[in-house]
Amino acid sequence: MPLDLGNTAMQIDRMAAGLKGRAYEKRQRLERALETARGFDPVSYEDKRNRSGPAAAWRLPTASDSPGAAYPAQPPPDDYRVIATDGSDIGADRNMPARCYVINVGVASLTYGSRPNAELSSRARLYAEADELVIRDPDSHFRQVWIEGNVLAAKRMAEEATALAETAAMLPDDLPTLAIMDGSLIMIGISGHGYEDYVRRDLVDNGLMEALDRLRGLAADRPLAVASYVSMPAGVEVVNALRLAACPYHAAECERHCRETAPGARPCDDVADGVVDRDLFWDILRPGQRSGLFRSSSPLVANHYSGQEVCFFYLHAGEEVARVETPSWVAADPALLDLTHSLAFEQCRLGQGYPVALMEAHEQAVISAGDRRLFVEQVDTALHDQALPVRTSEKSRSKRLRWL
Amino acid sequence: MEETANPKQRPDRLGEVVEASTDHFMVHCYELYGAPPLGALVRCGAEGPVYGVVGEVATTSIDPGRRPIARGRDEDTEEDIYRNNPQLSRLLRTEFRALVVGHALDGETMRFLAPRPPRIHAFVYSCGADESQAFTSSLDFLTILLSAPVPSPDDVAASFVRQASLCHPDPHGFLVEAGRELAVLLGRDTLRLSGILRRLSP
Repeated sequence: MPLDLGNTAMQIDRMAAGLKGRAYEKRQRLERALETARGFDPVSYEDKRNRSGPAAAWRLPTASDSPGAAYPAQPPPDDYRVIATDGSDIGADRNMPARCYVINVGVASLTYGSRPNAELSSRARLYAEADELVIRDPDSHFRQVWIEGNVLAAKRMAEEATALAETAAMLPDDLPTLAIMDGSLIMIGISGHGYEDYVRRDLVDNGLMEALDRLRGLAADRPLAVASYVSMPAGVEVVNALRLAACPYHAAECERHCRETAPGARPCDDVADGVVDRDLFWDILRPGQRSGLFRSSSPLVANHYSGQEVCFFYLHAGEEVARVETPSWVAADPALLDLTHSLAFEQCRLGQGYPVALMEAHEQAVISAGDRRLFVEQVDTALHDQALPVRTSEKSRSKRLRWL
Repeated sequence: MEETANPKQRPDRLGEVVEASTDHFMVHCYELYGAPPLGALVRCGAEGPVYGVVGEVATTSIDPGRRPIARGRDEDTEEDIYRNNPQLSRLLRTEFRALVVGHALDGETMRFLAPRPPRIHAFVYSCGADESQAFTSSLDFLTILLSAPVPSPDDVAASFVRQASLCHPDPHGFLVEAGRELAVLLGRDTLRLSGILRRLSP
């Protein structure tokens, strides 16, 4: 019996009862957050944010607009195009007979209007050379990280952005176009202390940013907007802005004022504890509307995005509130911002809640369990054909055989 | 749906063989809904071509795991659904099953199964009036259609005879001749024979 479902069922019941018990309190906090959002003054907020500086414990976005603001979507142009990429991978597995990994990027290019058309494709690439399996510190060849886990996810994202730029470059420049990726524009997985700067330079500066720069160059002479789409976002940056607005002190010096106060009892917890941005905007926005614009304060963006800061807004997509992120040059251009908003919402309408181009790119990218198994078999066969030893781990073998 | 002109594609080229055996071949059409009608005569392969009669046509999702869903609640016309969902033309496919009824060998037309099935990816063409007339100058192969493992072989046979008659200078005479052939083949199965003959009536 791999999972005792009788046991987990009781635990799930207790969890649900607990959530129900806390729902009333959460609703109360959300009401207070909504009230704070409606009375939010961006100028006072920016003043206090500057006063607080790094003393604030919360990551605070730049807010040029009130969180209480809502903007309707413009109708989409008569003729337009949406291009999207998504990726999946088969990670390097030490149980396999050869160390290698695969990145498969799916591309969807959908043209709407008087000449509707669709191009769907995928490109798979195997990485097996010694210098493809690791990222080395150019300043010290003794330091390297294997491309796996978060690093592989970040490399895959850079490949998705590169494919997006290549696709945009190959298309005619005649139509307003939205180039959209799945997930955040911020490589969150490698932003923490666990990774050294040379890893970020390789994946962000030389990977993602190279692609975003290329897209920016293309946008110089054609109506091209670039965005990423986060379904069911878990972000709390706007809620953090409300924390600051609700903070009773002149500046948010969290360590000084609230170090001794338990989480949940701090003054700012009244508007924030357990509330995420999407809860807030589900009540503020109506279907099709977007929130005001905010700018992420991620240190990764500040240090590695070479001036292309990441802005974001929330979109009521009909069935959920999604987060749409754009490079700052898109956010700063009202026509491109309107195009992003309009086409992101229209894509959700056509895709019954989720952008149809992203869904099709995902379908192109996805690697099924059967394909993964066949890939391993192909590796085995190729090694065998070259008369190379095909050694696999006993753990891997025991998983396949599963004897009694 | 946008039509993409392809200079390499002759207008009579319908698609490619994606599954083949000695008694039938399955064709993936280049154009969605681009299958010839039930009972149409088609030819595949350049050398030693194999002839088939369309016995079954289907349009389905390319991915068996993704079923089409209703999309037209807010659309005025069916065409609007395709215009606003251009990906559909890439995610749906039209296929037809052709029943092998003959082949050509050393320039001669044989009205029975070919010794080998067509190759996968063999191009499939619709047969023009002259080719259809020549092939149906004898109806020896009708028995293949009547016993074909398709949902309604009688409908296939009747559709085939009706379409073939239009390629002959005397369509009525061709129908009478085909009726006689059918009577011989079906013998005492008058119920089945009358059903097919009713389908042949104008």
